[in-house]
Amino acid sequence: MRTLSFLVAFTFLISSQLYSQVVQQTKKLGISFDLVGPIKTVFDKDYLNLEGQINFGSLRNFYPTVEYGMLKYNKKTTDNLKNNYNYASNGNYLRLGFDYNTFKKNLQGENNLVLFGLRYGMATLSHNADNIIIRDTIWGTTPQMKFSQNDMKANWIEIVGGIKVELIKNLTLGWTMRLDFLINTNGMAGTKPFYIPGYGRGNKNLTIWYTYTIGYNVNFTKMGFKK
Amino acid sequence: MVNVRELLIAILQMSFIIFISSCDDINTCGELYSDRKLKIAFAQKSKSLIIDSIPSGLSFYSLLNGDTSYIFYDDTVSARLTFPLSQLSDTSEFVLKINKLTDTLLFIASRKIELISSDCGFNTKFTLQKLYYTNNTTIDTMILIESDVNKDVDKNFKLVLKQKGTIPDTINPDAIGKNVLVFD
Repeated sequence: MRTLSFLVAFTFLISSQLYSQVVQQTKKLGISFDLVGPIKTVFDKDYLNLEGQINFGSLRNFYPTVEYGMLKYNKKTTDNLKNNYNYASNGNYLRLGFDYNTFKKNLQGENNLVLFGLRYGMATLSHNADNIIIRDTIWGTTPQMKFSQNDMKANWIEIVGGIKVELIKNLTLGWTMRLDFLINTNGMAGTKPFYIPGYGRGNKNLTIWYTYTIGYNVNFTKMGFKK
Repeated sequence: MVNVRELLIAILQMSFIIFISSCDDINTCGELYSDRKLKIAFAQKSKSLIIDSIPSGLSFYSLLNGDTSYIFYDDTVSARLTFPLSQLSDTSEFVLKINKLTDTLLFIASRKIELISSDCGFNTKFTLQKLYYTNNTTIDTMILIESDVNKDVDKNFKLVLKQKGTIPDTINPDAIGKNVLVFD
């Protein structure tokens, strides 16, 4: 947790230092929310993933970015022919990094981006399950099993590619594809979590997934940040 | 001339369609479970060579609970067979029978349960630790190819049968041996 706090503080410190130096180049603070989690909840009521993103405007086409989210997953089955189980997991995640805009053909007043970026992701989570029965017609069905694991942690590196379009003034819609490389886990020696929040499936060392975001650009030079 | 902004919006729309269409979990339970079976391919010793083969008259059974036997394969012809490991015990024993002659394979594996998908539920993840096997009659040797049972590979072991003409009609008590393979 100390590492996490340090990284957050460090990012904000660096960002504020940079902005105080190059405020004439910076114009907008982007706030956006991921739609993939809520849409997935429509299809799967047991899954809830909410994520918000802040990017701190352009610094020579670099956009320092902070993403924070939470994931809850609760699943109960009682009539599954294969297995029965109750499973619950809960966790939060934070990603720190930047996007780089490669798109240079904006018309006057437009703010469209073609992005490539990098993130460092970290998550804390817990999960538990009970009433687990694995049916086996040959060797025999298992007795009921249960487990509970808390304070699990994971860290990963994420490569980001995507686009963000300003649909109408300051309202943006964005899509990114992300490639995540798990670099470290802690406390997962037992049963691996089904989902690592912000990363994806817990049994994979490499995941690919998408975000689809809606956002709003706040012109913070008008809000008195200018020095 | 193509408006770049409209092009980006079109890409957004396409990506959204791709996202919606990828919401379904395409894995079926059968596929996920079959990955977790032990896969054994067969070969035959021929002088100093080991040649892949498709032996006939293969039977595999296991003694469940000490007395009840379960027949996995009965007088079959195959280049490769799959075997489920026990979810109840760290040991899974299989008896190979060819022409009334038997040899035994005893696999020792550690087990962890894992939620493999919301629809399929939990399954056991096996990590092989040891293999004990006899080579009294038909088995010459066992060759490890891949010790991770959960990987989707073609084979985990190659079971090498003895050279034709050297298989005894009966077990020689002096020749009874037990071999062990240990995996990291």
